[in-house]
Amino acid sequence: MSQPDSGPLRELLRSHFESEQLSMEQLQTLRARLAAGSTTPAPPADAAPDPGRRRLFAVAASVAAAGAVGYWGLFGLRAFRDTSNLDALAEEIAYNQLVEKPLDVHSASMDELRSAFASVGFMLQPAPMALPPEAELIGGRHCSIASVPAVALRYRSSNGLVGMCQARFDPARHRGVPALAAGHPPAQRSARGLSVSLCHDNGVLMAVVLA
Amino acid sequence: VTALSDEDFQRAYRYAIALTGDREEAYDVVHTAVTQWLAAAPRGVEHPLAYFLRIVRNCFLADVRRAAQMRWTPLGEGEGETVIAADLRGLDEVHLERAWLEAAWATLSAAEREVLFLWAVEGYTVDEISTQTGAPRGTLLARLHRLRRKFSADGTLARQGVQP
Repeated sequence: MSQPDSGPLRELLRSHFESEQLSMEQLQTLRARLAAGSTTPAPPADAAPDPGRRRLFAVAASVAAAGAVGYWGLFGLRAFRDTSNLDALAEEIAYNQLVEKPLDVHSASMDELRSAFASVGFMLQPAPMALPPEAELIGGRHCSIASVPAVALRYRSSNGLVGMCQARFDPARHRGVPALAAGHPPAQRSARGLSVSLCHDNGVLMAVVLA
Repeated sequence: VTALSDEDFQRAYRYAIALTGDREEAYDVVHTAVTQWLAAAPRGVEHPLAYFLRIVRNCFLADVRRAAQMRWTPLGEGEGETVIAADLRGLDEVHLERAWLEAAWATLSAAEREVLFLWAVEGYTVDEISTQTGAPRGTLLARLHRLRRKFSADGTLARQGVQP
């Protein structure tokens, strides 16, 4: 079937993909793989449990339980804190600040920026921690933090890069970020040569980035 | 997985081509997906094709994550920049030269190829694409808005006689 030289985007894409087909040989390979997999014998459901196997499971369970108790004793609740996500968030935020994309809004006024970025779905918050005294707000641009729409604010500073990222706080995607309201201090991370401080308050994730 | 027909495999293969942009990689992804389905041996799958497409997508994402050069360009990066009130009707109005589409296709990201494939070939709505891909609806609308803007610009250039 000949393909049209021009037309609606949908029709062009459909005709393009209609020409893409698995060959008969590839299909047969997939079917053979299926046949091989589906004939793997399953253990009978009503088979009598093997006493030796039961003992093995009992020993393994005891070792696992002892290990868990020891791990808990050594590391306490810290074992359950998800620090890997904090590292990933810090990496992404540092990357957002290092990439010199053009600002979407140029302004030194937080009120103006708050109004300009309200459509992102949250209100920009004041910096949760002290910024360098000479840092001068120059504007912001859209970005994302863990796939949540965010705003990257940029400051002009004689002492290197200063920036702040904010996003609507998503407990799942931003897990591990401490809550100021609960009395926790911001988490500190180093990423890509930058120092990143993360916290959330009033439903907004805030991250300050300093060189 | 035995409930899948040959046509279902073809659809999965086309989806994999949209994701990978390469026929051989697409076949590898489909083959891996079959193996993973067999290993998982799920029971009572209500929509086998949809389930299989999800496995295909996960296999592709696993490959992408393994690739070191993709470490800092995850599928969704930069896609959540704005939430623009747009829908799929805009894309329906786009007319394009095939040569322009082929030139543009090579420059699209995996996320963009995927959303175009699911919209045009599978006929999904924005909500269905969101369910399939796990991407927020706003992100998809912003992505579609950018695609429409890009293709409209291509169409304008084509009408002016510019070659891709």
